[in-house]
Amino acid sequence: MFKNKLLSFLSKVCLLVVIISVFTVFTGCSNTKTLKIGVPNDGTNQGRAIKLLESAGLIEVDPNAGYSPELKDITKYLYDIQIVPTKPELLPSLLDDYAACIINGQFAAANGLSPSKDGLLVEKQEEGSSNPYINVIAARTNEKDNEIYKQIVNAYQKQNVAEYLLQRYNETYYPAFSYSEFTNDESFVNEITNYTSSKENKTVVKVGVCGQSNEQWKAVQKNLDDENLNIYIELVIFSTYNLPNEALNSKDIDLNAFQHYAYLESEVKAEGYDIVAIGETLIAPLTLYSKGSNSLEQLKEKLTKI
Amino acid sequence: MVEWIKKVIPNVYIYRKDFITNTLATLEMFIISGIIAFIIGLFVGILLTITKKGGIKQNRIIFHFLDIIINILRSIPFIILIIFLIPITRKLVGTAIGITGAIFPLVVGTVPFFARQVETTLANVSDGKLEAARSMGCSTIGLIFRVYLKEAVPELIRVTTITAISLIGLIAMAGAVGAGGLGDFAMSNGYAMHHTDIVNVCVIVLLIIVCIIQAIGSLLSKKTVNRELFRKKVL
Repeated sequence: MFKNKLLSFLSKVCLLVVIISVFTVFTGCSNTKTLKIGVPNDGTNQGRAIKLLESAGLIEVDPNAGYSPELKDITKYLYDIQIVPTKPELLPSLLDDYAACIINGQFAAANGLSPSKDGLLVEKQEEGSSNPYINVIAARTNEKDNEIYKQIVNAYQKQNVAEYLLQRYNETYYPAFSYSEFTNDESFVNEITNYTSSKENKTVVKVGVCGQSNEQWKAVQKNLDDENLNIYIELVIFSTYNLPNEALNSKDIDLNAFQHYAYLESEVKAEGYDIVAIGETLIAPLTLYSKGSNSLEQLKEKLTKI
Repeated sequence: MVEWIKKVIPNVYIYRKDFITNTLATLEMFIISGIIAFIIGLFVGILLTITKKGGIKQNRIIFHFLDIIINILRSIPFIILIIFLIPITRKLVGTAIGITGAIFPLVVGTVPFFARQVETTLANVSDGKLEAARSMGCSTIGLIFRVYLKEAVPELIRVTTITAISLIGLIAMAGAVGAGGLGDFAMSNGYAMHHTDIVNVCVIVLLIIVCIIQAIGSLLSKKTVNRELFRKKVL
């Protein structure tokens, strides 16, 4: 008896669920007029992406939010768009689905996108100390005057590192220190990329970085070896941006180099880390891409103005 | 009440609209992909059971084909599977993003797991019962519906519960393609932005969802055990 009752109850529930799901699918379809814009979902790039959309004239952002605004700081949408945080490395393959995407240089380059050719709008990042998006090397505050760390910063801010950054990571990274003119040379890039060093009888310094695009550290290692400083840089590669600062603060690593001033500042404020920037490394601008639009104006024509 | 919420979980209050949308997104993905995966998974599981060696409709080609496909799909990490499926998803449903784009990868990620569970469950149905039914003139379809599925109902409900809860875990990863959902909301608006309260509330809501599913599953499987059969055995 009970079984029959139960079965009829279950079938009713199933029917209801099917009706609800069909309903939601249909209502979902009717809302597709709002075009979606994909932005990176990590804390360090999301704020920059929102700033870039502001400079593109698509949204208005609360000026009090500073350099790392969140979705809540958007005061007004000028066009009918929805900002969707997405895994940054997936954005290039989702360009067909989003109206536009804001993509980090290293992921765009890996998928054959070039900011100057395909980009609608490139983040403006002039050299100079007022730029909050310059990437830095960070150390614990009590060790910021450490002689070894100073030597590493010096070895980074050299001409050959600048040349390597500009040639190997074309249009992805720009050096944040002064360098002189040079001519492109492929053999130089290969020489650095294949450079290896041994850590025997050397002081090992663990540097936390994010992602795989960090080959410039080989050039830094070469500079250190050329000056016989007996320092070996061991790269510790992290996959999320929250971890290297925590690792640095708890002495798992000695230095980290993945973040810009604005992110360092927000992390220190939020988590109370006792870390400080000791040297500037590079600038990595974000770029707005869109399939099917060749310019920002063309993209704006597709969007509905509010 | 509102004041209290503002004080204890301020960021959840600020993002309350997004929070509700994402909770609904999780439920929507769960229900739609769950139903589709249940039907396909049950079908594949039955097909595996009847075509395997010594099964009621032995067929080596179908069995090995399904076996290999399931092994391949189960060995691909889900986040990689989503990336692999992007072009196919786009052809099938028109878009690879949002809830619509997440359902197909979710189904593909769940079906192999569920089919294996169904296979294990149906393997526990004793051969004696099958033999008895067949000797009374039961056809293959009859054997499937009257013996296999009927005898294994409590176990099937139990494995469905396990699969449903693992599906909740997969949905958190499906957020990677901009589908939203509580797991992704906790990651991109909570953890990445240092809003610990958002992370905590999302985890609590997910915990509640999992508890409800488990409670329903346990209750149903307890109620559907064939008690009459047991009573007869004892007498």
